[in-house]
Amino acid sequence: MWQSRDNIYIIVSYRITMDADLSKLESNLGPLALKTPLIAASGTFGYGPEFENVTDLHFFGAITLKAVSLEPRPGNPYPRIVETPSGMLNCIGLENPGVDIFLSEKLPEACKYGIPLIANLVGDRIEDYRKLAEILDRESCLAALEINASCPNVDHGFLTFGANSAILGELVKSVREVTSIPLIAKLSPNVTDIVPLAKAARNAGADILNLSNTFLGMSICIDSRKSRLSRDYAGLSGRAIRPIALRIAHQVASSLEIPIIGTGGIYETTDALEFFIAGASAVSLGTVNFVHPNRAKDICLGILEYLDRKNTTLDRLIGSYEGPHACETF
Amino acid sequence: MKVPLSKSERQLLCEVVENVDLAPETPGHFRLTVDAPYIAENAAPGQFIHILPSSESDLLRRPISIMGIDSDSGIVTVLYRVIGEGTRLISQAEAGDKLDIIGPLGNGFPIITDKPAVLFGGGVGIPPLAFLLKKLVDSGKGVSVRIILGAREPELIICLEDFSKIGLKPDIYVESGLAEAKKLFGDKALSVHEGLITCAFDELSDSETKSGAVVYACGPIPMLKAVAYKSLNLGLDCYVSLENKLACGLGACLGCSIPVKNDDGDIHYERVCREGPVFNASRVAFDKM
Ligand SMILES: Cc1cc2nc3c(=O)[nH]c(=O)nc-3n(C[C@H](O)[C@H](O)[C@H](O)COP(=O)(O)OP(=O)(O)OC[C@H]3O[C@@H](n4cnc5c(N)ncnc54)[C@H](O)[C@@H]3O)c2cc1C
Ligand SMILES: Cc1cc2nc3c(=O)[nH]c(=O)nc-3n(C[C@H](O)[C@H](O)[C@H](O)COP(=O)(O)O)c2cc1C
Ligand code: FES
Repeated sequence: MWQSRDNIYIIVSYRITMDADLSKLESNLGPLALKTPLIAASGTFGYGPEFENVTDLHFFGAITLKAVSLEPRPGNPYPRIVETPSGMLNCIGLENPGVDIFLSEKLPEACKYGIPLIANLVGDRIEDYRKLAEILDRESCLAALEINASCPNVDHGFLTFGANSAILGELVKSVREVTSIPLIAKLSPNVTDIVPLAKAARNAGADILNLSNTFLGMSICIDSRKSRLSRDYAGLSGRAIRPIALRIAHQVASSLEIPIIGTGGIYETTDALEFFIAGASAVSLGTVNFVHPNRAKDICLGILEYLDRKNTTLDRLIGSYEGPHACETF
Repeated sequence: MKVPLSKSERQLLCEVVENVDLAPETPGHFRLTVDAPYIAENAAPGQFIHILPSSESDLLRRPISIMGIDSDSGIVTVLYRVIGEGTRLISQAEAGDKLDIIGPLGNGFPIITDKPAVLFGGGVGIPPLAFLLKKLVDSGKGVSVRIILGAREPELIICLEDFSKIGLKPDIYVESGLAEAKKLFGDKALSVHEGLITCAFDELSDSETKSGAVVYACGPIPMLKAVAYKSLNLGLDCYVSLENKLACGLGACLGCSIPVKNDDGDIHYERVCREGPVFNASRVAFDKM
């Protein structure tokens, strides 16, 4: 059974009252006040309406919309996804209709749910990000802008912005100059040491870090000896990456002061709790939405039950990691 | 803040009514019926349901086309072939178990009733045609329908009973095993041939080609490609139901996109799970797949 016993218990007990008091889940993610600490991860939740009638959207504190660029992007050729053990590889390639349609069609649709929205920005050049930020700065239903400096699936992705502290710093600074909206920097985990990048993003004015994007992976068809996807490498997400993503979130949280969104393979209440303990103030749900589109609800209820049982609060839980396991008896 | 725990309409825990192994006639195939009134009420031919193979595994959901609905009893039927872990897990569900299903999803076949219809089905592309056929016949417009089924071998020709219930016999094309096919299907088929399903185009009547029959096709991509090519060459409208790997099934992840032609000859991508799985064949860029 993947679902913990606690989870099952709590769902049953809250069903009896048919509603849940979520006020204990209110959380401060730096300048962002969220009703719950769960955020839908960019690219896994579309623009929101896709999940209507499938997901109780109000269990998300915020929804991060699919990446947006200045001009429309067609995305990568077919095939774009392949399932792998406990996860999947994707090379969507940031397909999006461009900022004009984003503003005229996508954003108004997403706004109607009354849930804070985060725009995920991509570009080929620093000027692209800056221009996007200038345009989106005027949108009142956007709660934050997320700089995606980490997409592994395009030629100008993380190698340009995500793997070099100086360039990342310049990118964040340039965007910071043109907007006062809370700014999130979403980093790539495909680096030897993420801490210098995290520092560069914070020092350049990022309010929040999202740790992290997908891990570069590969899958080969042994009959054709070709990649199973339309690129050599693609982004790995899902349960398989959780321990690595957790380590990264903890490394950054223990090295610098900045609110963190933990992202990577979160499927269960216990996964989210691990990220909070490691130092994340909020977590995002990505690939799990494809499998269990209503998991945000289960996790919210599961966290409430845990907080009750441990007689603690979310605030006190965040960053409460106690260090290595000391084995007293063998 | 108090949030009501509303029931989500399209994600359902559906009770399995039966999950029948169709061996020995059709080894490796199962017919699954579930109690899903919402889906039965809202489904159209060509749409699919997205099934969680098991609540105890991490696998992504698996899309299976709807083969039939009974809106009075709320029962939905699908037929699937076990090819990997996902369908293997689904095949283990027993009557009384609950399956986690999202549906109905996608865009189905247009129901065109003022022209003759020719239905091409291959392998597990055959079951959804039974649903389409029923809709065409039930339209009461007296649509003339011809069904053409193809498979590598006779045992992969499925659903004959379902077609005969509606009173129609298909033409059957098998790539090998003609004698066995004749023995198996003799009285249930209009004709049995050895060869590719596209040979059937040579047998279409003048009335079907001249009056501009509508071709509906569901099956493996190479078959769809060939049927589309032949249909379009004859100037016939052709609708194909495409398969691809899906993740969300809801149009959110853009993982299932296939290349579609623009008016200017360039291509863009459309989602099998949302704009599809049924596409007008003239729009699909088969050469880029
Ligand atoms: C809209 C839609 C409707 C569908 N309707 C039906 C249906 O009515 N009945 C039915 O039996 N199947 C149907 N399918 C196909 C079905 O979804 C797949 O067979 C299933 O997902 C395979 O899952 P698995 O875990 O068993 O196999 P996997 O472990 O995913 O695959 C096993 C092997 O088969 C290959 N494979 C996987 N899917 C396909 C495919 N579609 N075609 C060819 N090779 C494949 C894989 O590459 C792998 O080598 C439909 C697919 C779509 C997109
Ligand atoms: C299909 C797919 C598309 C994605 N698209 C984007 C995107 O547009 N922008 C982005 O910053 N991250 C994107 N991601 C990465 C996710 O937001 C998330 O960082 C990653 O999947 C890890 O979390 P998970 O394991 O919970 O899925 C995408 C992931 C997937 C699976
Ligand atoms: S499967 Fe996610 S968009 Fe189609």
